Amino acid sequence: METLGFLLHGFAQALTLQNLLFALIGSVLGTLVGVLPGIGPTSGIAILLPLTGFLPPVPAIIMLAAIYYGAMYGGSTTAILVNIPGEVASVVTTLDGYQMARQGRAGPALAVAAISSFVAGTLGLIGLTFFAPPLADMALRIGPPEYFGLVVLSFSVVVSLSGASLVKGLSSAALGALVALVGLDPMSGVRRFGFGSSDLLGGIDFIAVIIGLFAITEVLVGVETSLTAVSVAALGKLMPLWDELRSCVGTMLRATGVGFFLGLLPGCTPGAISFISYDVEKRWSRTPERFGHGAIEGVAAPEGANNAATSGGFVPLFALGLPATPALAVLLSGLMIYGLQPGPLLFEKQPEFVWTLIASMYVGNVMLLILNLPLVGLWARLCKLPYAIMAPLILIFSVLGAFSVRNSFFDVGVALAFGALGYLMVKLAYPTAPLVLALILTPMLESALRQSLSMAHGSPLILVTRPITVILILAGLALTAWTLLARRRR
Amino acid sequence: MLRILLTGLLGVVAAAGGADAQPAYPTKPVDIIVAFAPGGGADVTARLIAAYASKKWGQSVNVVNMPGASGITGTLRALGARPDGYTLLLEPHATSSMLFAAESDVPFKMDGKTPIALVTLDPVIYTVKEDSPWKSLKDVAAAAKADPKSFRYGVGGVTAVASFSVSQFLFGAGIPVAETNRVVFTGGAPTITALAGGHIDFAGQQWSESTGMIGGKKIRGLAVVHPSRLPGLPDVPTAREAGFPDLDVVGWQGLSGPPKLPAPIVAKWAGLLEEASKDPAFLEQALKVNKVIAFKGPEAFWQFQQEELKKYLPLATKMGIRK
Amino acid sequence: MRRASLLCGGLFLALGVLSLVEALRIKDAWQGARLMPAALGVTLVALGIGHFLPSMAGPAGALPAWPDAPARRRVLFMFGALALYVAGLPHLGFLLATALFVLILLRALGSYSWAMTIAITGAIAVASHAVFIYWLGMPVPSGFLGV
Repeated sequence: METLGFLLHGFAQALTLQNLLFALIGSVLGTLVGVLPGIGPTSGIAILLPLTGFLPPVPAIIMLAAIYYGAMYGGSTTAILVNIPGEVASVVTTLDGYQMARQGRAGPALAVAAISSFVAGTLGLIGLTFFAPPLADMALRIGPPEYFGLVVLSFSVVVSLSGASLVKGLSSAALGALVALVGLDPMSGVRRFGFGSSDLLGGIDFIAVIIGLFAITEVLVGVETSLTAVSVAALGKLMPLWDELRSCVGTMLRATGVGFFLGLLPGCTPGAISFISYDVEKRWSRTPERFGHGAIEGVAAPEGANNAATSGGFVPLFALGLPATPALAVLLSGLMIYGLQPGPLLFEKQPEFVWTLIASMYVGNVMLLILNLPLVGLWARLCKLPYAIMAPLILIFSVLGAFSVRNSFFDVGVALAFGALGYLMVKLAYPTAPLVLALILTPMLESALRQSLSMAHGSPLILVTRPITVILILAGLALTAWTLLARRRR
Repeated sequence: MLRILLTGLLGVVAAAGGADAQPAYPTKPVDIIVAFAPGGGADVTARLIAAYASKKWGQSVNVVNMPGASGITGTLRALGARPDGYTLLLEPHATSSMLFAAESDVPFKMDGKTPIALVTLDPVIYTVKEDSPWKSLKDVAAAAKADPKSFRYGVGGVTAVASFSVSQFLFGAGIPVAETNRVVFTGGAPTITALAGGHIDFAGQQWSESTGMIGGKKIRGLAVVHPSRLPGLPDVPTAREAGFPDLDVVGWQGLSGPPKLPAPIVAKWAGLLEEASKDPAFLEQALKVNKVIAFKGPEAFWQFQQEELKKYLPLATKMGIRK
Repeated sequence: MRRASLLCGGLFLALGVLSLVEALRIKDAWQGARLMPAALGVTLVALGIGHFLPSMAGPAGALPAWPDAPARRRVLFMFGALALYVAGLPHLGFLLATALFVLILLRALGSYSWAMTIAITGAIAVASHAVFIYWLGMPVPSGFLGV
């Protein structure tokens, strides 16, 4: 109950007018930054970090956390409106979100994204508040073999996303895996698929690929049919129907669970988490065919999972000083400059600091909901802008976004190349989602596998002698088998 | 427009008041290129420097991240920029001595730059899990010698600091390295996590990477490679005290510029950084992000790098790291 | 569709071989940097061969859904304009290149008068410059005009 006392005190601090103001500014800035493709939470925080430099510690931290959450929200907006995922985690949102926008339902899509994010994020924060230290300890027990099991489980999603032709789905995934291997091997430094080009050795950046595959491809396809606007369908209601929201309640809860617990694990990227959550939802649903064509649960699930994962990611950050994603690493260094000393003693030694921060995260979540819901109408109207204006804007955003990741024109070239590739893939009916998923999962798979082998002097037996690993691998195989059978029946 | 006017005005005032006839450097924003992702060891030092310089000179100094190819991409960019002092390079051990020790085929030369100053050190701490039966480096050495096949150590990358620090220790203690298990992680943070979770038994990462878990009592520091004990870790003996005086691998970050950078600019930066190294506020900031301030001027910095290279080359060859 | 299938199959086969060759070239342990390229190579080859299965041919005439000539022209034009924009950015600088790009696209896609076109072009170019270059400080190259 002491916890509650601290939390209340934290709220008192967070709710002062000054701090609220900074939370607001942070949320707005973060959202703006998140909306810009290529500038995800990581670069967003890095860019905006100096701005907080001349603030006293508490407001500065509140602003930083607000920026982080805001960036996550912003990324979903463009994903839904124009098929440009603002960052890795929003890729899955495009699958159904953009389809909803095409059908004139951008409003409900955005609204559900905001609501789901809020619900899941808040629930996740509750988890953070009360369970941080024991959860952190649990997270430590996940070692390389367990990660391998987790990745095997995630790969079963590839089969699920393969659409009509399994061969095409798998080929797409294999392509993604190949792209992931280009560059210097992160573990041994060996050059792979470099062909003498120092640009290639830098690896093929993920964001550049998805900008090309989603944004640019979409414009190329759109131009074919001489689109007059992103959505020609009449702009329907701005809010989802009550029935729809009710059916999403279960979705949001499931997404929170999946997102929070996977977000705890350092090294489990948000992208993978949103795919898994989407897949869970699809399997759970009685009408899975709707997914990919504008199912509202297909937006609620990944969005919720994202925000829950964000909250989950704070557990190892606070309890162990371990950032689960690069964005959190930047956030951590920002926080440390203000005197935060993460570690299990954080809650004991600096309770004021932590609880104010957590309270302001709750506040930030509410603030973002309040900010975004009214804006839904505004954003949705963007879909009606003449395509002649939208297309150049989208492309300019894409070019800048790809460039800004590493300040490199090579990445812009990559985006162009994948734009062309994406177009071909659409024409030849190769699904793009498996490519993206494989791109995310392959590095994880490789490091988990190689590390596991080196832990056991090269013996693969380690993968079958650790209980959690075995469970995960068997689950993955079972899920894959189940999906294959389900396809056969169709 | 206003900005240009103001800057011009500042320039005139500075020139009128100052001893030099040229407009005082810097007259426009300076970029420090960090060839690694934001949040990492190099990035943190760059931001420390940038904040300090911005304040002192009233001109914004920006950190530009250009990660890729283990730091080669960004470094190439910085070294190829115009030597006018407006594009500089944050140079860490990873793109200098350790890189040249490990790789024989680097697309730039170690002397193809203008060294400015060494700024921060990030000392190595040898660590084990909190409840590990090993209480000192000597225990570790004994255990590894007795049963190398079940000794697992982690490194944050084959050519990273840890690779050198741990291998220096293992070779020095006469342990049959080829029979041990080396687990390679993609960075310091995963390595430390794995150590805390008991998936590996030993690590030798940098202070900034290890401090969180040490403070949280998940891992224990056995020795720190530094002339004296680190503030905040009074119970961790130095390597010398632990009986291994020859251990001397250390992570560091410094500032450099493209080749042929004019001497006055180098001097100005070196002067500023030397001043910073004595400024208590700066030192305090640095400690907060777990960096030790250690200043070396341009010549001393270059000297330092060459000595490091001499030290690491044989180690890299023995480890089979050198390609 | 049969022909497309065979072509793609051949492509994947080639990529698989490439991957295997790379796996052999790499100087590291088989359980190290060679592992994934090797495994992937085998997988790609298998998938490539899988493309030759009759089931991949699909119903005759179904795919690929190549668009008709005018649409094809539009797509190629769009891609070409984009490529030119990217190529021109380092030389012309952001403001000029963006303005030219928007101008070309508006003329091709939209049906505005010259006046409107110029106005919209200006607005977009200046606005994006203000947001990305001025405010966010993105280091895009400045080209010969210095903007």
